[in-house]
Amino acid sequence: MNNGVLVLGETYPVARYTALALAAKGHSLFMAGRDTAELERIAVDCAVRYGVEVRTGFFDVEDFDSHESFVKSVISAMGDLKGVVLAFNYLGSHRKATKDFNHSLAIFSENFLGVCSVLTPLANSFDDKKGGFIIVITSIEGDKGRGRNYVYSAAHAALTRYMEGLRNRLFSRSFVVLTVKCGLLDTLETFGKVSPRYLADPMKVGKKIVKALYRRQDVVYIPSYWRPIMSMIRHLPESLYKRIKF
Amino acid sequence: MVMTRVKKELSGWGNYPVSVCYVTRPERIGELGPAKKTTIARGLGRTYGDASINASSDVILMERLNRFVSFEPDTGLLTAEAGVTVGEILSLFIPKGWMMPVVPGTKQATLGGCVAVDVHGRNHFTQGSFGSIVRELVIVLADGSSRRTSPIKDPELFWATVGGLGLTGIITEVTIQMKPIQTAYLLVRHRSASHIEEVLEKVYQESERGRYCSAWIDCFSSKGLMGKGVVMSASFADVEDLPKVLRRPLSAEGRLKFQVPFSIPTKLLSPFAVKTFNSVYYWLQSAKTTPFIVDYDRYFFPSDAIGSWNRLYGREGFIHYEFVLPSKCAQEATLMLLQEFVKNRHCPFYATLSRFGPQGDGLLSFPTEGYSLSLDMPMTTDLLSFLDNLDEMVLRLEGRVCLATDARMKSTLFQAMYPRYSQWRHVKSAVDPQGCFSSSLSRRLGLGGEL
Repeated sequence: MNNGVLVLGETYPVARYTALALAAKGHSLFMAGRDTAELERIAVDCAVRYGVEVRTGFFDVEDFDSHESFVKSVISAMGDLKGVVLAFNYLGSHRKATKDFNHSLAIFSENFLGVCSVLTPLANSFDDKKGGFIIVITSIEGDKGRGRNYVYSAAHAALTRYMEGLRNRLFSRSFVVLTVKCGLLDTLETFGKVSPRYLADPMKVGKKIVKALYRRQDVVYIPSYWRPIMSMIRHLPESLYKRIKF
Repeated sequence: MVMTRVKKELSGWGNYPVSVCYVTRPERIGELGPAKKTTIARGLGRTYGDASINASSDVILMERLNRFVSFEPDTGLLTAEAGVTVGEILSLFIPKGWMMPVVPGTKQATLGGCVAVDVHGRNHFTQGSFGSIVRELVIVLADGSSRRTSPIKDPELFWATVGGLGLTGIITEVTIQMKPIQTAYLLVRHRSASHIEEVLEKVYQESERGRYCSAWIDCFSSKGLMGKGVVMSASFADVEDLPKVLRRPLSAEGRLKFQVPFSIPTKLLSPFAVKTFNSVYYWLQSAKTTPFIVDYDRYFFPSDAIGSWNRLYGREGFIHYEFVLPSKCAQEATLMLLQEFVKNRHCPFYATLSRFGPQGDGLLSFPTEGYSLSLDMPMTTDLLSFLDNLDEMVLRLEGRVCLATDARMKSTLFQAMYPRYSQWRHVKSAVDPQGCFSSSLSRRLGLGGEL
């Protein structure tokens, strides 16, 4: 029975801990990204902990032309996939993006376009199969454009919309399309810059994602308190929202 | 990406002392480079004193370096990065039938920490300390180079690092020898003792039988018979020993955990509260007159059931005073010390006693032949001077105080207690001539300073 999962996402901590949580459930893995040396170490970690088979490969999310052949090579190595996890999160510099469109393009490329590009052949490979899942990790920023970070917000908003459509297209009793909206995580980027009180532990996030998957959820906010907060923010009248600076 | 350096107040588990340090948190081993002067590595901060803090200077948090590197099922050799915790190893490998032969009192200790402190468990008399199960280490030295060391190929650096409190370099990878087990459960036996002589006799008997053994002592007990307690010994159960209801011998059930949410006001944890606890605890533990089955988590790590239990001692914190006395004088010495506690009104709130075997090869390792007492004492105004007197007493009796849990001992006594210091100093000056690796503890005790 196929249970191989493709995990794409560089060495972003959430990708690693989601992979670990999937390996704990017995899934064999294929992990790919740009830093193949680090991916090897992560793969060995998964294999030693849970005794599952873990392969690694090179994957560049911004090299759209390579994605179709990459997906073919994964399927020929692993057989038909049970699921895929996409965890891309490139924050970039908003200030730079407001001045230089090429930087905005890079933010869009990595957070949205690259994900769509690889999802195209992947979603098609799932179409005729029964069962499976697609998990995409986005950000709560995608729920509402914020003056201080609207390029990144827009990229994740676009991704969320794309996922809604994909969920609609691929709906069947045994298929799950899960959008994970993460709040602030305790990673290299936030260490020392944000108080630890507001940061979620990536290890716990990985476990929660797999729990949401097994519960067949559609959209999950991690930590869960963001759901009511973002709902309130989204429902604020625009005439009021535009005046708030945060 | 350059590592962010954050100003943060850090302390050990005893919450004394607290110092401002500058922390960095690498995500992978490759990010470690040449050491700044001065730096110390820190795991999850479970040493009690100031071994993993570095006042006004750099501390490297090792918690994200937590990948497993390899496991050989034929030999039981496990290699992992230094940030992996004892709890992670046990939760993954006990179900596979493998156990760490030496475990500390908490699952939250990191592998690197266990090596740096040369941690000991309840079976030191039979097994020795952590260094006895380490086969190889990888250390990043002060110049940023990585060095593989083992007791066979490089014994000088190896035995200076085991128990070396992180002062020879940053431990990044550890290889340990696991032992096979049949079940995740232990057959435990409680034997109550009405006074300290009886406690010592029973600890002697149980350790001679090769069992895990430690005794809890009620330091508040007096009324003519001091040091009543309960001797708790155990050995791993075989499959035949388990009741039929436990169908999966290698899986332990989860347990309820409480979390102390904030520092408790000191007055709540008063001698009266502790005396009441001691009476109830003695009654509960000594009521278990027949051997019983318990899972490894509950036997080895009882305090882990209460998360952040150090907050029970309040903001002032507490001192964990641990020392060992040679067997020849243990009985009179322990009785004398118990009388001192009562006389000076400094009764430890929690006390355990265990028996050590011969000292290992770690040059600064604490365990040595005799009986060791571990005491948790709430911080009070005259506690520090009282403990200074105790230090002198321990030295006179040819014992020594544990450095890894120490938070206040004077440097003058340390060299007398650790005669192998000169050998250690020699290795330290060879691998770290600039003295880059230094902690609040090493400066206080003059470790790495002049002989």
